[in-house]
Amino acid sequence: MTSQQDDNQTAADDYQTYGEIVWGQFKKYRISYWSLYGVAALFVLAMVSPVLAMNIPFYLYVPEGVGPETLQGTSYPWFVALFDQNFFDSGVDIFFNFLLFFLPFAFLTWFVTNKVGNPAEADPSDPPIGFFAGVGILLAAFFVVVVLLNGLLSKEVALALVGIGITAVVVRAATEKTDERGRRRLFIALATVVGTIGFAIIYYHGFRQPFVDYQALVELDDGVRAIFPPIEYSYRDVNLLATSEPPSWQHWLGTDAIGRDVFTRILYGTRISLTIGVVAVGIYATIGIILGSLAGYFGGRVDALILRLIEIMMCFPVIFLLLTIAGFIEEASVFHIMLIIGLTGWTGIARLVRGEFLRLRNQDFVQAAVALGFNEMRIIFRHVMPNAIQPVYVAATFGIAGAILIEATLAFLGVGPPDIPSWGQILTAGRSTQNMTMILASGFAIFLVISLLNLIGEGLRDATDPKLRK
Amino acid sequence: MLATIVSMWQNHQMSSQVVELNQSLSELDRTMSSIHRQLERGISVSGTAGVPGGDQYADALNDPDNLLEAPTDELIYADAQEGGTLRRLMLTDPAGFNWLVENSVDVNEIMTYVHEGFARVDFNDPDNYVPSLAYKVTANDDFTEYTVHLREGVYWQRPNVDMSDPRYEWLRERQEVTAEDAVFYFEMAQHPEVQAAHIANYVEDIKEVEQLDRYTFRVTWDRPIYHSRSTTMGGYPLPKYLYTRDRDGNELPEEMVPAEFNNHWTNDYPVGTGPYRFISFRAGDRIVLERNDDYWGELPPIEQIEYRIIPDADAGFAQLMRGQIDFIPRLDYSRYRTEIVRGGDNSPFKTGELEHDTIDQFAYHYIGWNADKPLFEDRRVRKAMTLAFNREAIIENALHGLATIQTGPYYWDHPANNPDIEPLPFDLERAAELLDEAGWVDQTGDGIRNKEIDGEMHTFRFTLISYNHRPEVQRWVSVYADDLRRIGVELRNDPVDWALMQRRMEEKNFDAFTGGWGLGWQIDLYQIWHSSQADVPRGSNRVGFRNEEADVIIEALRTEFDEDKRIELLREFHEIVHHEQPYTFAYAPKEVSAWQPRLQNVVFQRIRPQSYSLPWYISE
Repeated sequence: MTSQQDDNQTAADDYQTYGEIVWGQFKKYRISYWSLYGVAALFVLAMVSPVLAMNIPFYLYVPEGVGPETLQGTSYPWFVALFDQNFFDSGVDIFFNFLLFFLPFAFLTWFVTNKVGNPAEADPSDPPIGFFAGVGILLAAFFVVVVLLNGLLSKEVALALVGIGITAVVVRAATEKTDERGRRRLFIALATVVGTIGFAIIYYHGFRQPFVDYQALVELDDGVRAIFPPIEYSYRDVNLLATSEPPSWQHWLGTDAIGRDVFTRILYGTRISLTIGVVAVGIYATIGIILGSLAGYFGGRVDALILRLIEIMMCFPVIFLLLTIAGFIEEASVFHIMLIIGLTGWTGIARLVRGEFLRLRNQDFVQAAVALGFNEMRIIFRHVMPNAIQPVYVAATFGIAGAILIEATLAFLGVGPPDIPSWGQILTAGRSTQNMTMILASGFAIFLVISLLNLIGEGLRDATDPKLRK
Repeated sequence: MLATIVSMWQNHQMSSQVVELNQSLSELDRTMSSIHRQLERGISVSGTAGVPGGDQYADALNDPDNLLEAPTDELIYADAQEGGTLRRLMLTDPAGFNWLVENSVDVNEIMTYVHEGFARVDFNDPDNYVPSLAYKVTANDDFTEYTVHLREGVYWQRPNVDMSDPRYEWLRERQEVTAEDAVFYFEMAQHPEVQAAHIANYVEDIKEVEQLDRYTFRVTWDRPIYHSRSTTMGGYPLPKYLYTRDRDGNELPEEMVPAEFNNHWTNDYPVGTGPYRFISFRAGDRIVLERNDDYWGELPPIEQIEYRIIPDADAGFAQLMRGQIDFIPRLDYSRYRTEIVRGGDNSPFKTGELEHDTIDQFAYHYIGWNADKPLFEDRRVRKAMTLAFNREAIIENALHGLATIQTGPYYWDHPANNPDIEPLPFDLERAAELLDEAGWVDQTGDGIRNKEIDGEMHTFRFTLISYNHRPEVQRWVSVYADDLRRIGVELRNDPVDWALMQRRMEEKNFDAFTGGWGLGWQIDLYQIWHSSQADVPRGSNRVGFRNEEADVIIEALRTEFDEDKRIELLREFHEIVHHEQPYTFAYAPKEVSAWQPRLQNVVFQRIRPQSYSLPWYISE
């Protein structure tokens, strides 16, 4: 996002892409613009949750003869625990923990390769000193990081980080002549691929380690030294000696009925709510775009068929449909909830896309593509779709807010895993235990993120509307 | 203008005087009927003079052969104030009111008001049976033949149909309860077409039920069996004259009667012989019972009982606060915490706006381990599971002390409960040791225990099916999962609804589940614990408990009638169960009932239905 902003300023030529025009317009809607920063801040907060709240120390020193032998000496348990699937039992947490390392390095890489010398401006006959300097700095940085983190992080993470470094170098080499826009696009694509592979490796490797009660170890106080995150609780550790406590300095928002810190749970809930919104909308936008474009492009029977399907889907009251589908799932996890929302929400987007396709399919550029003999898939997905997709962005922004709300509704009705710290589940638990703090805190969190997303959606809607151009 | 105001004021004065007058009149009326009732009571106490056959009934209790004993419980309070309506909360609509076919707790409770059995259990001493419709029951030496003598002159209540409709003309005549109705009950209970599976198990060993004269019948059993006593005496007559006829009074062909019985038209107009009559039921709204002034026994003071059906506990409590309901049988845990445990001086329970009491629920919760799975086939593993379950702290903190630790399958206050058995403490170290002993050791270094069984590597990771509509169960499952994680066991909680849970248990498709059993005072272990029931489809021995020693005890108990020997055997069985840990017995829940102070003499019985309202009265 910040890089986008920079680009906008550096794009000196008079040519502006559609995206840049919209972005320029969007910035003029101040509230929406700041809401975007708000959501970004929430995202960062979700990412850094373990830095703020976790009951595992960053640094631990256990002198000889104290505690279990495997722990003696200096260790950095926090870094290891981030990818421990015994500790973080949800893939969502592992993903955000991965981002916690991946994103800073991706930004660093981009920054270094982009800023150290601009080959497009340099004389091609000069030796590419800037390029080599950039690569050198980067490799040195990676070397230091890998050595530093060796033993702290699992090997897979280190490898993924090195992977993105190499990617950056490849991008750099491959795009020496293209402009910044092209390089950026390529870099984002490659970083996404590398990141996905890196995360998949980490997740499916299924790293787990034995449980250690670090807080009990520290309380032994035989020269044990430890540095904990500022909030010394995890979102899942129960404490039966501190159940249903009111807010205090130890527990900012009190504790729930089995003594879990509510503030920590709300904090980690940000991750789940944002993920649910994005993934569910991702699923239904994909379905909606594909079905909508097929209906709009082919018309006739295909259109009639898909439209009837949409009408049938829209006939069902959404909540009942969701509850029915949920009834078929055994051991519903948070991913099932995303899937359920994704499978039921696509109708609106399908209709939007269909409408755009109907408008575009008789335009000259499409006719030209047909005349050139391109096959239909290519015409649909390469020629028409990029022009038909902007209304989807607006719908998707509102959709994310809607999905978060639906998750809260489902949780309230008792669907979904009761132990995950999603805001909906916290709200439900608060209601069933008459805990006002929990109800208000989770309710406010839901209100905040939904308001921000809706404000962004409105700004985006106006920004994409040529009649409202400022 | 002024005149209007003055006349209005006068009017107001007059009307309030009229109201006052009315009030004092009705008070007078109440006092009168109260005196009247006390007089009646005096008569009945002083030897039932004037009641035909009264002496005969009293004398029968002195007969040494009579299995019935004189009641020690006083169900009707002598100084009670007459009249009023008791409004109680009910959470769900009953499915129907056929006493035999329906088996829900709610319908059983309503039945205790509307109908009566041949004999009833003494509330103070639940091992004894006291007279109800029968005044005398005798048995032969090996308890295979019971002769039951019914009270004469007891009449069926009239179904509460619209009597202005001429089609119901045939119902006008009162019908006496006879031995024929009693025989009809056993016929229906035994008939395969009648949907009374919960009772079929108990009556399958009855050889014959025959009517000896108009008021006497005999039940003959195939073999001596312990529950024959409670099954025979706990039975109740069913109005044969109704069930053999259709709405217009035409007789049904005899072969149609059992099939018709399940959905007979009188199921909407249930009748009995009890102290209350069934008046009406509106789904989602209320059930109304009215005092049966023709009742043969002593009349309770409260004139009308209304069950208000309110599914939402919060709404129910709000109505109690506003005085729209008088009695709530069970407060939410959270409500108990906010209003009573942590309620300040403004809590309605402190200011005297409401009253409350804690009673045992006569049930227990447990975790059942599927012993047919490799994970839980070892006794030591199951014991470790119990050791890792922090029952004490859960009861204290998550259930606000509203439970008692359970160690076996009996009510904790029952004499069968073995006093030598101490509940296993919460001890994670010992649990870990036991798991090590059983061969479950973390071999892969991932923090979760493994074991090789039959050449296959198993990981100690299991799914606990839990009932999703009980927040307090969900709460302790979270605590349990957290503790198990510390000793290298991964518990995955799968909250499901009751229907799905039952299906999985029938398919034996589970590792472990949270369950609960309601308890009765009479203990019959066969259904849940005998090894033969482990392989019966839909059997209740879901965990696959197979123990030869236990089987011998269970079979011995079936034919043992001597109370002391029974207690001995039951305690022995308790020890086996404690040793084997087929369940991790969790706790016996208590419930907190709350009521408006206008309800007086709110006493609770020792056994179900604990909140039996006969002794209560309403003071205005």
